[in-house]
Amino acid sequence: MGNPAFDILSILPFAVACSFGMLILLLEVFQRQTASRSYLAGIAVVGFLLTAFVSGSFLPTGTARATFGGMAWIDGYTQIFTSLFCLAGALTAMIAPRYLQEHGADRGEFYALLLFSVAGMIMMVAAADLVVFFVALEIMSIAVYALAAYTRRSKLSSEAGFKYFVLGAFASAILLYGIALVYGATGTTNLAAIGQAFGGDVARGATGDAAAMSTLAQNAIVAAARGADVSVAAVIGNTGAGAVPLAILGATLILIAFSFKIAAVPFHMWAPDAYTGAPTPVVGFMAAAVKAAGVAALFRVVSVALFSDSFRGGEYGWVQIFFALALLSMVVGNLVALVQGNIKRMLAYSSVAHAGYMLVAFTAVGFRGGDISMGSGLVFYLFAYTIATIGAFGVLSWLGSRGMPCDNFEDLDGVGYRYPWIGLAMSIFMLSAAGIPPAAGFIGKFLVFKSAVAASAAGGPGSGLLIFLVVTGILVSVAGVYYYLRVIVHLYMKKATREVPEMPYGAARWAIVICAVLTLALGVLPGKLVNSSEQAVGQMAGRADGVYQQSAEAPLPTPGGIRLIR
Amino acid sequence: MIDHIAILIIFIFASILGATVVALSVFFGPKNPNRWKKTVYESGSEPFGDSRLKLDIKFYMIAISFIMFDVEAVFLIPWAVVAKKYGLYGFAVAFVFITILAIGLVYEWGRGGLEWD
Repeated sequence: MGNPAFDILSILPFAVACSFGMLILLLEVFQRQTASRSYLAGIAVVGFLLTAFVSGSFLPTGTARATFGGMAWIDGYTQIFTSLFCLAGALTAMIAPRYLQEHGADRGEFYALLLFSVAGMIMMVAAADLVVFFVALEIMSIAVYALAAYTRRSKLSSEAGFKYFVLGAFASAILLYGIALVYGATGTTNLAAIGQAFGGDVARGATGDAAAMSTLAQNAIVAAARGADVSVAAVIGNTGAGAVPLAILGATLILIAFSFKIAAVPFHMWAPDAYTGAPTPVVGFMAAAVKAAGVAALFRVVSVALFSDSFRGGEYGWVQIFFALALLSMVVGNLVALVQGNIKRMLAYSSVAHAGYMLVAFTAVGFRGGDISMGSGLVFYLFAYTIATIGAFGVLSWLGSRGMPCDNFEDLDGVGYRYPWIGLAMSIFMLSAAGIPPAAGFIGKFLVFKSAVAASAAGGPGSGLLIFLVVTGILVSVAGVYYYLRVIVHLYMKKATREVPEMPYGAARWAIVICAVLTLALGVLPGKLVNSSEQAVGQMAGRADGVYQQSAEAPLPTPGGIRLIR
Repeated sequence: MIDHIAILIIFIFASILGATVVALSVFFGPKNPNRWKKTVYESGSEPFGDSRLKLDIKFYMIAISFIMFDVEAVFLIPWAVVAKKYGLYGFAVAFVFITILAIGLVYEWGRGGLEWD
């Protein structure tokens, strides 16, 4: 056993989120059915703020520590994403009440589920073990399945929830199978120990605090010794012949499951239907926070467990997989979004395209010339994307009312004049999604593409392909500007065709304003968040940095590069 | 592997014996079928209707409640075995666990999940 006091302290954010969820459930039950539930949204917002506060203040910052015997990591990476998830949850809780009242679904479970799913996300990013990771993923997913089907009398919402559930269950099964195969190949489910077994040399931690890192390395070794037969680990360490195909298959299945969760082409099929049918505030939460959690956890898994030279860019590297996923997601997402008439569907395909941009950062990191620090652009990108997406869906749910949803482009006609501030906010979100300065999305895209160019400049075989990826990304995002600007055209250059009802509820408006202000602020003054992102990725516990430098002395396992694609 | 060869022999012997007895009765046994002999054996009651019928959602609620208490037992019994060794810390953790389950039960009760009608 580790240090019980630190163990309890370290899961405090998780515990606070869960406690508020349970509190809301109890308040919901002991109340007349007819009473309004809007005040529960306020409690949920307090819960989210308290969770973020606890994560930032009560836990040591600037160091990385393993907790619960090496089952989870509390480090800057966990903390920055905790604050992102809490922000997303709080904004969704502010947007939701009016929408729920309007659609006859004003029940407190919504906020409880929101808090539970954020708790799952926090644990998912903190997970240092594939089993903990899986449990956290399920905590998050089950809550979100229920949220997607929340307006249960609506056929579309039920369909969305069911499709999301079935596809999500498949993804979970694939993930479990992958975990089982990786366990079979390495004899452990601990991420750092898997990294060691795959890489064949001791995981070197972050460049940061040496003492913290040495405890981490010890933890990893202890976990490896406890979980794994040492001789097995040693055999795999030399990439022993029999276990390698097993390990590759397992790692590939894990990557496929992640691709489902973040809706990357060709695993995006569920996204358009689920996003069209689910309640609009939930769609914002799904598209932003759930995707951010998937990407963040995937980045942790990739840079801790799968970062050895032979696994990222060698003969059987995942860099090829990410290259293909990124290329397909960017092209398919953007081109299909061009022809959508339904805004929620358009934003669904746009979120697929955004998954592609994020995967460009993964490709850069996994490239022979890349390293994990290049992933810091990803963290910034996720912040910019999350805020703008929740804001955009917030505007749609604010404008829609019962029997008169704001779903199609025509429904936005003339809104820019009737509600100048909402129109302005929507324009800012669209500009951010399109990557036009001064919105935050521009900086995010810039950082991600910059990392790819930097990795390419570091040389190595196939570096031209990385440039090809960046150029394709820029070209399709120019194509994407068309459908984002189409929203603005409808807002300002069309005559209103329908009467948009008066909007009584204020909190949703505040949430939209907060999103718009944050989007602009991050776009104009990105420095602070860029620094924190770099710190967070720099402090990521257990990251298998330096494997490349180490093996530069010894001959590389394979001449490497992107062999399959070349 | 060689340690378990006896089990394999028993399996083979049992299969041959079973197949022989059934084959003997099929080939040499007397056969006078009638309507009642040909019906599906349902413990004496008459089989009727489709087996794919709609079940009341209340059974689902009972199943959920069962799982809740089932999981409680699965975690509490191992803890009870080593309760002395883990002392106050273990007791506190178990208490938190039961509290969470109790909140779930209160929620179910309040929502009417325990009422049959």
